[in-house]
Amino acid sequence: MNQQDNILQSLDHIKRAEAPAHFYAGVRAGMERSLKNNRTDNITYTPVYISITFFVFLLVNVFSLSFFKTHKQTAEKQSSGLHAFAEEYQLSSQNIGQ
Amino acid sequence: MTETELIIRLREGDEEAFRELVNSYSDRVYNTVFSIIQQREDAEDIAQDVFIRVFYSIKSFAGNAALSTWLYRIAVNLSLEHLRKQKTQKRFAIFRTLFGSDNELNAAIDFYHPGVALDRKEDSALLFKAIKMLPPKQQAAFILNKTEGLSYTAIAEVMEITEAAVDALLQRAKQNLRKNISRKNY
Repeated sequence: MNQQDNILQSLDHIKRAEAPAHFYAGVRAGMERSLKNNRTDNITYTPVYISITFFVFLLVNVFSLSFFKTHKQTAEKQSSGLHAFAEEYQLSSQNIGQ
Repeated sequence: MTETELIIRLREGDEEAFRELVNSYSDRVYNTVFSIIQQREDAEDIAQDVFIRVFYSIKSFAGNAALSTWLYRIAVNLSLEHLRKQKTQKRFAIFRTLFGSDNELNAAIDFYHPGVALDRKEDSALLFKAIKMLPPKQQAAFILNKTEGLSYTAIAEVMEITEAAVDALLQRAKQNLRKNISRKNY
């Protein structure tokens, strides 16, 4: 038998490597760690959380857009009313003190 | 406790059943992962992760295959995933070494499996180096066959392939190992 065959057959009759003595304790510790991580992951990365965040973001934007639009229109209406009043009584910044 | 009873109790979240599962299968899972990863600490973490995954996904276990088959499958998949990540890290490590920020470019360290007879220690270290160079599927099939002593049928179930495919994988693995050993290019 040559060297190559010796190497290839070196794993014949190999015994199983045994898990360390504290293996079960390690599994339990790992489970607790993954539970903690899951709790934070659950809050921040679930599809429901992402959808709600996106919806709130959209709602705030739509609300602010419509609010500023109506606010602008009211302001325009008010200023056009003032202009009409000033024109009616021929008020201007020059003659208002006379 | 029969396997069916064990599965039922595991599904109920029974801690005693889980302890029994870990005690019964820890050596098989650890040995599989350890032989693929060839590194003690990482193997321990991955083997523990296998059981954590089993605990959380036992309800999705259909019971079509034996529990051991399912455990071997998770163990093999997690180990191969770990090796893939390691390869990617090594690629980046080359760049880090080039720029002088990482001096720990992994030198190939000899792996001595504790289950190998003393007179075969050096030969097995060479073989394990050659195994590490095999494509992932060949690596998994060879390890399951050699270190766990699984039959072709059992390997086929674990890897979800046909027995003929297992046979082909092992043939190719042996050919590649011969090439790697003769070239000694590892």
